[in-house]
Amino acid sequence: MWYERNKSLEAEGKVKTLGLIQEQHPDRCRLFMQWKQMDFPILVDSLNLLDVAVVPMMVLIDEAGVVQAIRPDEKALAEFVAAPPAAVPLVPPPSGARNVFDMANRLILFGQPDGLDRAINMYEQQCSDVPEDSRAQFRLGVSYRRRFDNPETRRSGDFAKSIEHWERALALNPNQYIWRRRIQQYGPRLDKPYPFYDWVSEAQRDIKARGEEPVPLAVALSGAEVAMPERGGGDTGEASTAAQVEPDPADQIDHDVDSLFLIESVVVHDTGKGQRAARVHVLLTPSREAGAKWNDEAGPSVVWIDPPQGWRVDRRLLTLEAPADGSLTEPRSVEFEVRPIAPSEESGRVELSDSPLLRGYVLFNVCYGTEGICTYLRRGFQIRVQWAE
Amino acid sequence: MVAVKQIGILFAVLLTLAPQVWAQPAPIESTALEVGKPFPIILLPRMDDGQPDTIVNYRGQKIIMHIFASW
Repeated sequence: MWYERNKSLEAEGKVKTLGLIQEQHPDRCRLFMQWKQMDFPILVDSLNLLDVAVVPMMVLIDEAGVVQAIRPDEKALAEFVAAPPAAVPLVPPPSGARNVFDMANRLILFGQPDGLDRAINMYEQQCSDVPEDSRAQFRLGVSYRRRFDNPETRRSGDFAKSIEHWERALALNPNQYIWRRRIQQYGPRLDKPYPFYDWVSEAQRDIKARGEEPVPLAVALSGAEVAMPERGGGDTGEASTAAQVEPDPADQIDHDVDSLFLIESVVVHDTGKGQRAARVHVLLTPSREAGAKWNDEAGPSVVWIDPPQGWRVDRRLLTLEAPADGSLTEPRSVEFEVRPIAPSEESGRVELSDSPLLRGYVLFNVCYGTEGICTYLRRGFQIRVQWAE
Repeated sequence: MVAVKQIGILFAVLLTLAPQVWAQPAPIESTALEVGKPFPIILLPRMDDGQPDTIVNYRGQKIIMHIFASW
């Protein structure tokens, strides 16, 4: 294995191993390294500042900091190790920002939350001035997702904006597989090359079995990030689970007229051509103004989805699961996938809309107000799934 | 004489600001890795503690860099 070979080379003082990861959430890689018991310095390039388009990739860099080989074969690696040392230039580490984007990147990577807001404004300006700037589009998407991932800084629409800008970036540069993966991470199963983080639970089990405490994940894994890819052939995956019985078909539950929850939806489209599949994330945030809290003691809150004719969803009834820490005021989410019904699955062809309108409702157990009134309410919503032409 | 001096100062200020005033917005330039070129000196957070780090801090050593993702 390459790691063992590098370790022996490093022990002989011949090379230094360095890692560079292309992920939005570095703590997941920390967990991976702990699981695999690997240890070497790793730099995090979540903004894709180095324009890396594919992984994995090995790069050889000499003593002077010059790239000597990319994806070397065994012969090139041996020559690199045996080569006489290159003269080291006297270059001081970077201090001040080189330009406005360097400044924005530093605010995103090292700044305080208000710095992230400033960086978002800077990249928004660039995307407005130069809409075809794919790098700016991608980095803006990373920034919005970063703000979304922090409950203290999250704003309504942040996740949707991250997907929107990532999709724009990929449309401008379809060969950028790191960008494609960032969308697929949250996208439909049909479009997934592999399950992204399905290894996490196994890693946590193994690490605990060794008597260690697993590296905690700052951001919980979403359903999309552990979902298995779908390889076609009518595999409906989650669709074939439990009975999907509509919970309030006659619309008898009282409606939430006080907007006790903010409902947001994010549609992540497939990144391939000729497919029609999307993963929809529905986020519900209790209203702080109304003092709303989930009332888990009364039972689970659920979401029901009604797809239009000609379209199907993999699950129509979804449960808003309570988090492990029992928090009652945090946002909760559900995910489902939507796609057209294949002609063979439905008798009689229908004209399919390119932008199906999904209707649905949430039934939630909630307590609210200073007196802590607890009740069971219904709230309807609509989600338009639109594919760009 | 004073007026001529003031006009001179005004021209100097305009010349200094010209690149910023008249620069057209442009896409961000590529920093892609190329064989034979220096590895870009960009500050990135270290995975373990989030502190800024750069390739400059590893100069003087032969580096095998693995670019990867845990997914």
